[in-house]
Amino acid sequence: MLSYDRGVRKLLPVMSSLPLRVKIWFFIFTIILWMGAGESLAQSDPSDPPNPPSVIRLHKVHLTAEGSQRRIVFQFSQAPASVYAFSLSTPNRLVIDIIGPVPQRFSASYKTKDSLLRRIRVGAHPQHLRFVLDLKGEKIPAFTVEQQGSRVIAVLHSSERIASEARAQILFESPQEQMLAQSVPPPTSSASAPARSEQEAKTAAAKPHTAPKTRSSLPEKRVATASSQSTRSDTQPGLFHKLRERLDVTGFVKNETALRLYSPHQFSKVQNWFQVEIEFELTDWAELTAIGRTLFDPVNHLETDITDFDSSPVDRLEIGDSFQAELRELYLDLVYDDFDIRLGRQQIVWGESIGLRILDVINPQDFREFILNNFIDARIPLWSMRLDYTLNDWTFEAIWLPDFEASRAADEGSEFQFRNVPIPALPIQPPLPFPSIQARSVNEPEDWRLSDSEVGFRVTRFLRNMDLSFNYLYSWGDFPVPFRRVLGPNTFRFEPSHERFHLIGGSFNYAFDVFVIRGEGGVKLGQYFVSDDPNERDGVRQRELLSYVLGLDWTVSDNLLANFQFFQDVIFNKSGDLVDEAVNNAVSLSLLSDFWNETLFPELFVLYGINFGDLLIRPQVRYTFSDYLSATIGADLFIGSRSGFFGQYAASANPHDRYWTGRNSRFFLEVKRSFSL
Amino acid sequence: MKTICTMTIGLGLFVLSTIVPVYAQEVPGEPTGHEIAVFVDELEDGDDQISEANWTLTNSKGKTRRRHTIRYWKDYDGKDGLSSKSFIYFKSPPDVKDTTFLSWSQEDVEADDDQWIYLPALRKVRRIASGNKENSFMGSDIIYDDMADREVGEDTHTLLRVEQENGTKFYVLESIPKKEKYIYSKKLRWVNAENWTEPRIEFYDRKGRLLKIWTTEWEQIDGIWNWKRTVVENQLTGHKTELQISNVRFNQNIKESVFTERSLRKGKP
Repeated sequence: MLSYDRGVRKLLPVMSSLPLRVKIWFFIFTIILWMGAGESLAQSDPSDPPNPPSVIRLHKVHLTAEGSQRRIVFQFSQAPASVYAFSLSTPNRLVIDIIGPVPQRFSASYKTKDSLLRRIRVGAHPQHLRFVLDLKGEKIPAFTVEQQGSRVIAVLHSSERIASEARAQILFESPQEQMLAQSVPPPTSSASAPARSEQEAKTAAAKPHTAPKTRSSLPEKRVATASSQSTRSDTQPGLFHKLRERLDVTGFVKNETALRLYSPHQFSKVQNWFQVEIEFELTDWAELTAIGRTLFDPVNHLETDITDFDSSPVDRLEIGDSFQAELRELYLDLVYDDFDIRLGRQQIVWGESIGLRILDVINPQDFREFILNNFIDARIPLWSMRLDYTLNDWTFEAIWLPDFEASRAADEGSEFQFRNVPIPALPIQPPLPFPSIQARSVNEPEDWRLSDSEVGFRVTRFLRNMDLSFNYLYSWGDFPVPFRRVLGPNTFRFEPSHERFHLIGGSFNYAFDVFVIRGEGGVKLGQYFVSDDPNERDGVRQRELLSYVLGLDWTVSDNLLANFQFFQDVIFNKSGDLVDEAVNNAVSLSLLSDFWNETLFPELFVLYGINFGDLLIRPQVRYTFSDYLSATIGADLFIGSRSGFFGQYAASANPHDRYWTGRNSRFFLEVKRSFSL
Repeated sequence: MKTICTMTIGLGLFVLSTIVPVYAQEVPGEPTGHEIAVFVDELEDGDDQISEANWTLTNSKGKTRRRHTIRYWKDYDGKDGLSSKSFIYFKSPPDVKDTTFLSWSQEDVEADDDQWIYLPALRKVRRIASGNKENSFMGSDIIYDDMADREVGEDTHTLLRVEQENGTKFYVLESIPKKEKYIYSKKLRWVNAENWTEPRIEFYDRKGRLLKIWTTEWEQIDGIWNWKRTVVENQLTGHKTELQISNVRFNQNIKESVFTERSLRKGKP
């Protein structure tokens, strides 16, 4: 166990001792932060208020290059009162101020593909729009800036020797300009361009109420911009404000207290949470999210040994027996037109079912509270990459997980210790009464080794009334397979090892009237099952496992939603020596209701294991006192045979005494206070 | 010959009357209720729209809750059988933050809309049944049916009277649903005769009781009339919902990809 002192000392030289994967993430985030900082300062808030109709709006920016001359035409919605231009050096820039009524907040940057002009930036200032032309080359070229009605034309003449080129680029075009471009035949030569612009200007003037194209939907990809000397003085007063606007901090403190129903009547948990989620919008296309939490549980019945969590120093810190701090998630979202990338420690969730996981097996699970805590809290996030690509109604998702962590069974002696863990039979031979049993440490895949990484993809299609998905995952088993080796007469060794499997599956839903039928399923190829045949060589056998769920959502009334589900596991070619049932069935019922304009939420969730007749019943009522304060009271009741998945936590050891609840059944109360900064 | 002519004209009128709906003039010198409903329906709403809304929900005891949403809406005008697509993203409070709601409204009024919700607590996108349109939208006094496009032909519209207030002329329109089991038995709508906006609507429940009053302040942005502030008061429960609309932007060329599963899972467009 890590003491506070040792924990701090371990963290101080953290940069030098961090694993390679963490260094890589730090590097990526630092680069993005650096890139984003400039753009954060230069760009306005996406939620800018609309411009009043009388302001000067930018309709088009057109660049024509011919030899050493550049002609930039700015088309506006109306004629500016005046135009003022000057140059700046170090770095070389040409500044053009458009004087007149302008939008209160507007900024953008247009990248060019030109040997003389790097890009054009624009920002709104009181009573003028300022265009900054960032120039390439060592000398500032000669320039002229001329106003022609609602157009402003800048011409640059470079004395430097530059490659001869003749090309035209539209750097920005508002929607009405685009519509005109489609309806008006394109100019056949550069000479016809002015005439066309005149017509556009007239049409634009005749449509004074059409909205301008704003930053948020510019066709060009915007690039990071750094504030130049001429504009920095204008942006500095708003620096903190702009940073603050891009930062979103939310979180909650929560107390979860549970009391055992049956003797010994003890608190099974008094868990105090503090969780913070920070989102920082680096640029319009990059956002960083970090989620951290601390847990403090003085009764400490959920864990008896907290050092068994496999994680590096930045993931989790444990102080004493009762306190832990964990970096739950830290990821970077990169958003492009039709695809997104999410890089970092994250949860990746597939599937349709409620309560049990079929396709939702990408992240391992922490079973310290069995399946009673929310999956979002129980999943163990992994360092990974997720790429989403959209094409019409299709979504393609590819995932790569170079990080490995095993699922975490509840600790030996803790509240929800697994009680029905199958172990391979031992071929004990008389006359030796006591076999010699050895155990090797668990064989795990290596983090960040390409051949050991996990991959998967998913294809989703939204159809009329129906969604379909196809899923594939090449992964590692979250629990080790207990291989048993026979070393000699009555001498055995267990060699637990995580093994690969392929998961091929899919999901669907179909909505009609007040119903939604749902289903998901998958076949695991290469799953291992424990054998009770002492002569089985490794004590385990490999079989294919089909798992699926069929469900129905029924909107009974405007404040009652019912959900029914049927789960089934089928082991193909199951031989009699395997401990698991050939077919395992379970059903669930969920009732969700709300009253008083969604302030009171009574709920009931029941899971019934058909094979062993065991039950998990979870009634609860949540009341929201305000947007930030809520309380939940409820119970988790385990009933039935102790051989069952749920019944293992029921009271009686007598298999005939099946319907007594207890042992781990509990009442609970949760009080949650959210906050946002 | 005269008889034949009379019969021909009569038959022609009969045929015409069967194919062209004839609406009696309810108030002399004013358009009919149906015509007014058509004018209201044809009110320009742009090709697409982005807006923000601050929701204030107040119960009968005066206790308030607040929500902040961003809405993306795009007119499909029958393309792919769709009337429109909308995407609503919850920015606050923390407990509902990142919840997103996607709806594809069908052009066919009889067809159910496609609707999905992303619940950040589950990290899952779930298709939801849209058959029950009486569900409250996020605990407000606005139900899903109120947010859906309603065709003029689904109701019978009658101009009851003309009112003047502060020099502005208002048509008071009664709209009674043709379908018997509709949520509301009727609506009374006050229509501004100058710009066809509706500053007040009264909703009556199936029992004919006044259920809720919906009042709206309008503003013109880029030539398009839009809500500025809306208050919906439930007359039976005393609960009230106020929406303050801001940052309205029209015709932004919103991309199709905003209205997809990818955006839902991202929790934002």
